[in-house]
Amino acid sequence: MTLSKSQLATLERPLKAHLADVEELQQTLKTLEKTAADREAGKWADPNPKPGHGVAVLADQRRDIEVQIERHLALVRLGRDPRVREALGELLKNPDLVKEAAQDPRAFAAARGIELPPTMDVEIQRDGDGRPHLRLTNYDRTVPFDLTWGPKGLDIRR
Amino acid sequence: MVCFPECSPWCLCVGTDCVPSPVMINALRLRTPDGRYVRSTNVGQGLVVAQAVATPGSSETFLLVAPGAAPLTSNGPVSLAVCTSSWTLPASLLRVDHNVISLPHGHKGDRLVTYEVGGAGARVLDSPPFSAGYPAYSGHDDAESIFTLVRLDGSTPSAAGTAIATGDTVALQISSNRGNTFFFRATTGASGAEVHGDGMSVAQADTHFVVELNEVRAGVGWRPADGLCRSCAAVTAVVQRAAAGNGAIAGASASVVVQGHTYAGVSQASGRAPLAEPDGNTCVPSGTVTVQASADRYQDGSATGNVPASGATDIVVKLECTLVKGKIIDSGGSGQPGLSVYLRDQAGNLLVDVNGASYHATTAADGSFTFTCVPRGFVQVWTTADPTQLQHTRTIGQDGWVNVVIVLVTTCGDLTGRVVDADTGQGIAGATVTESGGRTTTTDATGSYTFTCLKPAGPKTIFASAPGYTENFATGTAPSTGTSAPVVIPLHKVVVAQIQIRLDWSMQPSDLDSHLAGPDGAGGRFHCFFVNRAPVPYVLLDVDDTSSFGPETVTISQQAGSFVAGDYHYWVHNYSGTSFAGSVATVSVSAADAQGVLSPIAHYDVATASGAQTDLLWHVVDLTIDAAGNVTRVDVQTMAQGNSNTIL
Repeated sequence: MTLSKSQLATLERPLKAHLADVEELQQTLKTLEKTAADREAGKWADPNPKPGHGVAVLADQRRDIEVQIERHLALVRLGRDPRVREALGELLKNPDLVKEAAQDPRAFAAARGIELPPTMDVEIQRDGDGRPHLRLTNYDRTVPFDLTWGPKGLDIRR
Repeated sequence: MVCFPECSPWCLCVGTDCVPSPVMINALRLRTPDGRYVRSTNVGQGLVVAQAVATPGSSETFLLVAPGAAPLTSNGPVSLAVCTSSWTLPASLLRVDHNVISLPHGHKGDRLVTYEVGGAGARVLDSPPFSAGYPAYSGHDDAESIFTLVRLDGSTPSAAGTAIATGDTVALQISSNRGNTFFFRATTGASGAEVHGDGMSVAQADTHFVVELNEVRAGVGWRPADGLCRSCAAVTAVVQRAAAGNGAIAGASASVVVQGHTYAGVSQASGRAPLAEPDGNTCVPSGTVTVQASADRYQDGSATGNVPASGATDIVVKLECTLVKGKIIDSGGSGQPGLSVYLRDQAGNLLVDVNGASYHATTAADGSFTFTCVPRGFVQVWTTADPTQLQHTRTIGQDGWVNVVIVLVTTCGDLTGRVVDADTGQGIAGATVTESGGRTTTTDATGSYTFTCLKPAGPKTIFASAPGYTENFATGTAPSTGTSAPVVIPLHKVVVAQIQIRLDWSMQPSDLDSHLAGPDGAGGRFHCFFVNRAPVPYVLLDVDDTSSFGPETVTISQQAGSFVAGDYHYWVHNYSGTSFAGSVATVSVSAADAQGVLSPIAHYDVATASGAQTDLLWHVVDLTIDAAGNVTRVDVQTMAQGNSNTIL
């Protein structure tokens, strides 16, 4: 079951937003790396150097940004994984699969080779017409989101 | 077996139904061809023939006693007992009078006096057996009370053994002990309509009687011909409004209780409420019943009616409206005419009647008002003549509320006063003043305030607050007229011991620094930041936090009992050199009293600052502090370029 163009479009929109964030974070990372290198070389852009801890702070910040970048990219990979798209398409059509996914969404994904981030909750919900919707909630302070995958594609709740 | 209403005595309860019991014939009535009934009078007196009565009575009912048992046949014996008024069998039989006969007794000239039963002039009596005493009569002569019932076809006796049924014409034959035969005969006699035992032949029409056979039960009576097993009928309560056209009342609950059984129903749009027991039984025992009815907006009511033995009946119950009535008077007791009065619910919404119109009345010449058909429950009587009177409330029942009295406060007075500085006694302009009734005003330039026409008159609590002062209150009395004595509310200044500016942030960017510039007390300006955390004795940056995310706090304290007056500028420097984008940094400004209790002054979020987030300086706020610690602020909230040496 392949996804329609409109469904794919709804899926791509947040992925592009993630990529934009990644681009911005990478730019910040570059700035930090240069600043860190300068500070390690004894060159301080600010007229009031903070020897020692000033360099360490930048190292912490770089690691934090690298983690953020990796989490954004993981979500992008997940969203573009053909197995994920296949499962999303099938779920909307096959009531038996919906039942299986509702029992243990994480096991359902794992059985299809999909590894969900540990911070992500998956829940099967039904709308007023009884159609299944997949609610994805990421409890990650760095990249929080709450999405719903339904017949019309991805709906960003917040 | 449960049959309700109970089955009549002539029926048996089978399951929940009543079925007629078999007819056990044990009595008869005799009717002359012209429609008169043979009737007993007092015991010992003769029979008469009287006009028929509407309901068979005991006086013309005669019980069959041995040997006259049913079924009766022609030429069979019959003996009849007189029925008492309680439909029981007395020791009194129909008997035939003696006919005393004097016969010549031979040549000796003595006359033989003897008798025979019946004969000319002998009446038929109801009495105990004759006493002995007559010559040759020893009493207990069966011929007195055992007769032969002869069925007639016209004037011809039927064959012996022919069955006798109700409606047959019969004759009662008397067998004289002298071998003669006589017949009962309706005649005039001394009392006008007597029955004598001297009919000579069935050829005489006056010996003919039409017989009616039936069952009589002691204490109950003559079995009725209608065959009804229950004396009950369906009852429908018809619930109507007592006035205004007797309109039907829908939704009324109606009920009647008979012998512990409750029949109930709810009226439809027509006002009709068929009554039934919970099991569906609709047959209400006959007799007089009282139907109770209850409906919202009406007073409970009842009506008494008679339930017939069968069929159906309507009992009309008329309900009076639930009333809310009262009077609006002035303080002198005079009625106030022409005023609008409304009914409202608990939320202050106008109550509406069944037509959706609000309950509105205009007071009459004497100030009275009346609302009819008011729903039960909470009701507030409210007049636009004095909308402040909200106290006229009650939860009413079916009997309503008929003694509402609203005393209209036609006069009002002003409550006035001042808000003053507790230390100097000077009026405080712009103070907010609120009275306990909810009205609010602001003091003028002299600190004075006035609540004009404050109602109702009486005690009030007045609250006052002003910037830089702690809130206070005082009590006063709103006068019914005129102006109150001034209610003065002193406010104490808030004593500010310190001004604190606190910075919080998170990982990105992770190295933020607080910067504060201000008067150094010598005509110049100080710059407080991580390089110089205490540039003057009255300003201190507590810490340069580079390992976590704050807080960093800059404190401005008093110097020799007062603040160093002047402009203080506060900004944040992003020492990380990256962007503020995505930062959750915040700044809070507070005043602290001598005990360290903080009073918030302002709060800022970097995300709402204008300008390029890539600029490294976040200019947050400028504070103007006077010697007393009064703070006037300008929320700058702008990004700016610079480094840690930049002074804003």
